[in-house]
Amino acid sequence: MHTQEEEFYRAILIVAAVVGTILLYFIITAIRYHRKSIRMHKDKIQAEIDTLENERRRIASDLHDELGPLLSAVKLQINNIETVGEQDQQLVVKSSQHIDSIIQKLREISNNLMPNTLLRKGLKSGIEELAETYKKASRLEIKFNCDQEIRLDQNKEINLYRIVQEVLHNTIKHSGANLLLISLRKDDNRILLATADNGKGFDYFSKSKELKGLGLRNLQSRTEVMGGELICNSQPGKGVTYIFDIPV
Amino acid sequence: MTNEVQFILSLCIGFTVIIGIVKFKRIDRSYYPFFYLACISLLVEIISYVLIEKEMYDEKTVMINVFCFIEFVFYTWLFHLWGLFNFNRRLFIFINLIAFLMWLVFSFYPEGFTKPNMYFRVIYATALLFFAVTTFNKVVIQDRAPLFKNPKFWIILGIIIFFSFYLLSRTASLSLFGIDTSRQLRRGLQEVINYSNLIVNLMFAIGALCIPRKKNFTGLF
Repeated sequence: MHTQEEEFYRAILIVAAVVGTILLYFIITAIRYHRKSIRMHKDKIQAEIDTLENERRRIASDLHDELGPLLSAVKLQINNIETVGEQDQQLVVKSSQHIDSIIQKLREISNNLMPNTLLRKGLKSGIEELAETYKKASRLEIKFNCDQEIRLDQNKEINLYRIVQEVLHNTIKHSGANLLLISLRKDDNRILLATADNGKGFDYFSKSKELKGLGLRNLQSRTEVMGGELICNSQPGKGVTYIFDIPV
Repeated sequence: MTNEVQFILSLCIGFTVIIGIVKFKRIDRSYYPFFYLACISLLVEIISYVLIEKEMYDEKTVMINVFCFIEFVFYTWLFHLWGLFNFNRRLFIFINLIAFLMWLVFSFYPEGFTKPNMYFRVIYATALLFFAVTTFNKVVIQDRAPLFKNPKFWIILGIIIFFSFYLLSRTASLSLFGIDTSRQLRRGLQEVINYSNLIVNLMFAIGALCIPRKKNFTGLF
């Protein structure tokens, strides 16, 4: 190489070294910010879910522990009223029936907000009860399969319960399916929750991009918070299959 | 760096090809263009070496000119499957049509088809760099999995690194266009690409290893 060429080549090497350094810096910062972003995102979702569940728990407890007894007392007092005529007697009976249905409705709302069965008996019983409730309220046939008694920490149980609740809700509201299968299994270090319906299905990627798809994002967020993986297999006309792979 | 050493180093792409052959049926289809391209690259490296050994330089140049376009098509196909053009097939075809026209023009201008199409090489490397950086940003924002375990991260990073140095070397060559330069200088510029190629081939191999298995649905029904 001539002197001029040598100088040119040296300049190229210096530029290559600078480009290499910039690329290295770019990679390191990208990795650092990615980690930071994941941590912040997870914390944010966790905080949102915690706030939501605490609020539900508080409202459920207020409804059950404060309004319930108060309504029972009102019913007792109404029943003790001494009536004069037949018309008054009928009015008292009617009011008592109304109060009964209000108490019943309050129990349902309270149970829906924070299911007692889930808290007392665990995930399997909680989902069984939930499936029964939805079966009665809709024409959807629900088959729940779980061979073992599963106890996890309460946050995970609540998250999994809410996931099943969301899937049930979505299936009834959007899928047009008449059969939903739910399977829950615990392996050594993970929980596998799978659901499949025979409805009209949807395009997962386009739906998950839509802002109004809150239900789907709810499933993603709860799975993410538990450090799990959500796999959705669906095509228009071929039903929806969800698999939630959650580490224990 | 002798031709033999250069050839042996370039065979590193073989790692990716081997991993691809082993994993091919068990991986997501969106990675197929990457493995197809790895196979083509390996083939081109071998044929290049043979042509150099037989001193058939014009044939080698023609092959590299064609390979540049093929490489562009496969990379854009890969990015298209990863959602770069919002899965818009028409846009993907349109971009490749434009690239084909440019390739045609710059393969015959300013020199003939048996000379390196330097202008096209600079343009396609720049375009691929833009595509790669955009896809990289998408991966960093959308994927929640750790980046080191993400095959897309390794593959895109490899593309960014390779084409940055490729662009540097090619623009330097272009600035020397028409000037009578020594063989050592040309070799020196080629070595910049060779070393970056070595690093990138190893990154591709890591990326290929990280590609997860396709999820099999046994179905509850």
